[in-house]
Amino acid sequence: MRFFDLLKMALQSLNKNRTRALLTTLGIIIGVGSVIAMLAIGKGSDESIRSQITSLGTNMIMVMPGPSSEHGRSMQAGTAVSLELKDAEAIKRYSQLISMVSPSVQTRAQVVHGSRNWNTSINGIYRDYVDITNYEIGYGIMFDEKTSQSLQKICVIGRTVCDSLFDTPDEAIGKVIRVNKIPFTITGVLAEKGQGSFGQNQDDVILAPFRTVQKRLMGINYVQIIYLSAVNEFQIDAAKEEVSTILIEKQKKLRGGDPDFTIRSLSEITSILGTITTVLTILLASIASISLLVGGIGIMNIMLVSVTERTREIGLRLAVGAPEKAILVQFLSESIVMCLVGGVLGILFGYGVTALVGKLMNWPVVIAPSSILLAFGFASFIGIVFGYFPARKASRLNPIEALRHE
Amino acid sequence: MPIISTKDIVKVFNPGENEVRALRGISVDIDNGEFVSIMGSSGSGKSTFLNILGCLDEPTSGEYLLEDQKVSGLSRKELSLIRNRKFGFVFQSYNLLPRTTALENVELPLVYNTEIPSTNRRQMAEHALEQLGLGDRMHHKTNELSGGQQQRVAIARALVNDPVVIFADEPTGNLDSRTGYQIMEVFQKLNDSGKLILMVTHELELAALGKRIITFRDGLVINDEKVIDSPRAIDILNKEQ
Repeated sequence: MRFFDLLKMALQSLNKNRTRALLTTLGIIIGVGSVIAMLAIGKGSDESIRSQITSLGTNMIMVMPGPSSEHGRSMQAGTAVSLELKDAEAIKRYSQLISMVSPSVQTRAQVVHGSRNWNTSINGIYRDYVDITNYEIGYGIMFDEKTSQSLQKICVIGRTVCDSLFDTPDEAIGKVIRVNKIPFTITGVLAEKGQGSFGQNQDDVILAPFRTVQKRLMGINYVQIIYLSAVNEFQIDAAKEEVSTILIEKQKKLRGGDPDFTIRSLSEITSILGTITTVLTILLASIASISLLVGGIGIMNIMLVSVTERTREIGLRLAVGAPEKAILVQFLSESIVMCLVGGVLGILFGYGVTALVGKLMNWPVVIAPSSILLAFGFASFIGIVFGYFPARKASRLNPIEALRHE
Repeated sequence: MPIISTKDIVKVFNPGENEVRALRGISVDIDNGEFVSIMGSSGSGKSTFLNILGCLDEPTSGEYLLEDQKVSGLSRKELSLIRNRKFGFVFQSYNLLPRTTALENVELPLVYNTEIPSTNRRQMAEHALEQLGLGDRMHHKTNELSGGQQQRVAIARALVNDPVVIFADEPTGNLDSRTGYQIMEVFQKLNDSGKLILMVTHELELAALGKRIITFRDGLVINDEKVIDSPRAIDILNKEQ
């Protein structure tokens, strides 16, 4: 028996029962299609959830100085003055797991424009701060990295500040406001962000270059908080570890004293994130696998019917000298052909469903090449497993009984 | 040296309580070039004997030598090899593959013969069909052929691998007598060219067209005689006209 003969035979006999073969294949098409679609939807929602959680700022890590103590009495954490700009620079230089770094200082200030005034907090930051905390610029422009490290008197203002001082955001761009009597030029207005995780109004803020605020407004030399962003949400713990090592080493070298800082992050949320998306994907994939299984049982059923129907043909083939193995392979290849054809059409069907779901529901859907391989492999596996039993039944027939079969 | 030699062949169906002793010790020698008709009423064991000789069934006991080689005890695979290379079968109900062309039906035994390259198959099948006067029907599907034509396709299929023995189990049973004689004429011509033919029938007129008649009754051979001067089927056909 040659491979080509087998394929020809399988195709011929499937062709003789076209409708039946097509309907049986439909089971596999739907099975493979739904595996692909479900995996794509699972992967899509995984990415959607991840990007949404990321926008909460879960990648964010904060380094604060330790508690200060006055005459042996511990004060609130973050009140010490032990962090400096060099710490931020060291993290930026040596860390592998940190993608963004911004030192920050913050103070409250009275802001005046014309006859209006407002009391708000002004943050001195580097450009990266905007991305770490997921602020977006709504009007005008954000000052760039280099400017953010300079002493220029420019700023971007939050929407709440803007509404208090100006009639429209457009009007604010290029205007000069006085912050504690120092004039700052507005380059942009932040897009509305709403409340933060603890209820604070994140739009009631002014962002200005770090050193401008540190030196001109506050007149201090230390850094209050260093904001960091880990490369991704799964590396936060490792990143914290790394930052800690860098700071301990640096602070020991410079000051010789005990390291003095605390590192905080929102790590609980990210650990839940991983669990949710894994469970979701497994759930969807197992639902889809069940339909693939049902499709496989359909194949087995039809092959059993086919063996019974063609008992005389099998008897004849045995009589003219077909070895058992040839009969086995002949029937097996029929079911495999059905499964492979179903697999190919199922992949197309899965693509269609995925695209449709993506479009109608406006969901992000991602078809991974691995899911195609998985579905295709699964389909051929089912063809072999569910085709084997009927094929074996056919090959074990007694030639005389098979020939006499009515 | 006989081609086929059996000694005390016994076949028992359903051994145990409802056992049927289909063959009760058959010893027969058949030489090359013979045309043997196996006669008997239904239930006499003639078809069972043919099936055993054709390696489609195995005897319960007894010895069967084919070209001096022991057949009993061979594996299913070895038996299928014997059927493929040494035997050709013609059945009462033709047993052609439905909705398949005459050519493809005749090619079937060659598909299972790995010694024959696939490129030669078609030519061999065409040749066999031409031999049986079906050169213009090769590409017809089997359901487009008459009963006589279908049986001739079946004979072409039995011939295509140039077998040592052709087994025919009531080959004319489904045909009217005229077409039946035409088929018998084909067998006689094949036998003229030296093919060994074993045919099962229950009609004496047809059995007499062979060269030897073995008569079965209740699983035993009751008569085994040579036919002297067997008539030609073509003559009978011409006389009828």
